[in-house]
Amino acid sequence: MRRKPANRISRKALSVWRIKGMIETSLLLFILVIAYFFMNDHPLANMVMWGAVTVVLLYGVARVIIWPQLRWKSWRYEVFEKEIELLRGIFIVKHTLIPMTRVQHVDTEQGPIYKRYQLTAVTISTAAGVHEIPALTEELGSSLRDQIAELAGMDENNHE
Amino acid sequence: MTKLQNWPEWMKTTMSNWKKLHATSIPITFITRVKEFIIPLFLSFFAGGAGSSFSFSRWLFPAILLSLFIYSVVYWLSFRYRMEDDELRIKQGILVKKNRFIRKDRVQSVDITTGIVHRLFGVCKVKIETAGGGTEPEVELVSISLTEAESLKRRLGNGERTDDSKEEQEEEPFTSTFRYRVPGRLIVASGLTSGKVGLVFSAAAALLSQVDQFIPQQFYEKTVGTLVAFSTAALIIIFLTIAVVAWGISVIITFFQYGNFEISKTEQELTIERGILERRQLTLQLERITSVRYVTNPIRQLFGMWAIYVDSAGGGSKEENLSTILLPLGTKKDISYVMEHLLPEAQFPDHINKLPKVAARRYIFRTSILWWVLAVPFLFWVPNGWLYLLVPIFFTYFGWQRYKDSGCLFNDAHCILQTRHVNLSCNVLPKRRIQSLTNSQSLFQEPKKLYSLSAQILATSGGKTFLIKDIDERQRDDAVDWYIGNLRSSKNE
Repeated sequence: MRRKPANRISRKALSVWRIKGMIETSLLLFILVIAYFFMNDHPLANMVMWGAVTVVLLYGVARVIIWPQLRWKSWRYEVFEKEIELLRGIFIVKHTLIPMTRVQHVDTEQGPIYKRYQLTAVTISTAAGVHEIPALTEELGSSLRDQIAELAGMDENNHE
Repeated sequence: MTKLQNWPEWMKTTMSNWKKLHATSIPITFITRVKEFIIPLFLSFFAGGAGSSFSFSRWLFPAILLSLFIYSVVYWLSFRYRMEDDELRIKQGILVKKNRFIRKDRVQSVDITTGIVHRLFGVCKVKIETAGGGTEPEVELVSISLTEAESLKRRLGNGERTDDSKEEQEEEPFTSTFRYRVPGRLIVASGLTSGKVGLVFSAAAALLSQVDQFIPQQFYEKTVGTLVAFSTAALIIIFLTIAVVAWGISVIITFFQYGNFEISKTEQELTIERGILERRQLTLQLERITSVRYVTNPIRQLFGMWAIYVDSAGGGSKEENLSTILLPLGTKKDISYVMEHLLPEAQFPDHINKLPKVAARRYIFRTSILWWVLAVPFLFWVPNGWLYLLVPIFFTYFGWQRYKDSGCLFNDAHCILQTRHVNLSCNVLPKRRIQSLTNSQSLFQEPKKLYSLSAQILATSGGKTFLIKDIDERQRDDAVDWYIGNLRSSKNE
């Protein structure tokens, strides 16, 4: 087995993912509540309703309690001189290699929740797609972005 | 024009070199727009026809038509283009002025189409694409003269003869180093064996199912009655007739689309010309090709026939799933002959590394499980349901075949991923065109130490991913070493 990439993402990712999980779950519950008002009193409809509520609650538990922990554990990355390695995934563990010469641009991205936790995501674009390293602290994120930009030689016009 | 004074001096002096499109662009744009607006036009036509009074809906149809026509005229009036140094410049628009500069070295493909209407006036349509996703070409010159198109193509091409435009007069100024014409019988054969039969057949079936609504009830009952009397034999004959007709139609379509198929190579440029009525000429840079795919379906495989597809950042056509057909059909010998001249390093591989034996069960499982599950109700509730067992048995065999056909190989500059869904596809990807490489392992693959490997390249539609499932650990390591090991040792791309 090869050595795993060295770096983990910020622990604060857990909080962010939990909040996102809660928002998702409450949205789903909200939809169910609305659906409830439009439903008739048929016993079968009630059963379906309670079934749906149970499913949503189970989903919520998974999303808020279990999934963030597993997800955080699975995420690793490392930036080398010549390539970037990303490792992530719970059921399917994905290991991606992006050569520096293929990097077209790097960005840092920050949504409202990330901002609250002073986190940022680094997105790495190649000609064929975008890869993201989520939840890095702001300082680390921007220094990583600059590091990749420099390694990829963005000021020189050496790639298409 | 108010901004003119801000423009550099050299630009002002050459303003008069801006060229207009050919006047035929008016009717051609008009026809294209009408085609695009066919549904609203259709609706407004009937809306107008139904109301007898002098009403708004009556005028809708002519109003739409008229505005489309005005649009076409204005489009022609406002559109200007020119070649300046190594750039193609385009300005268009009345309210919103759009200027577009395209550098020669960014051009991925030049696509010259001569439709029937174009041919009447000796003009053609030119599409120019640069890298970057999207199905719409960067530049579309609706109608320009053939000589103009030829000179434009040459000036956007590989830098030969950029300044002398006198040579345009010659009909065929090519100095092709290689030229190959696909024999007509192979085009017919490709029509006979293409998957289009199914498409045409289902279209025919859909049409028939619509038609029967318009047939008078009585007639319908009579014929159906007769048919039932004729029993299944007659139905089968009718069915077969439709199938044969659909087959014939698909051959004819293929023949018109791909007839007179010619491949030629000039320096590093690849030109593909094809079509009987509508002639399409596509020019690609050979070194910018991002994948070469050798594809065959079970029927073609029986005859040892393959097709070659290529991907590039631009130039793919919709009917070819945004790829380009390089060779519609050919034997292994034809293929190696053509590729030897075009891309010798991306030849069809002699051998590939097969997948590990443990992968076989997963391939069979994935392919046949659904059909085995479906067998349960058949066995229990359908009389003679055991006959159905032939279906899952077939898919079990098919899964095994898929396993046997899959494999990978990593040589100096290319990786080869060969997979089969229904079609067998041998994908040759240049290393310097692979944008990222991902290997993954699912929970089910873990105990067997199997991995999936996917490589991402740039194609006309944007990113395109090639995936092979269930390679073993050694193959995975080979892939990673092949991809970045070399990177670490050699400095330049």
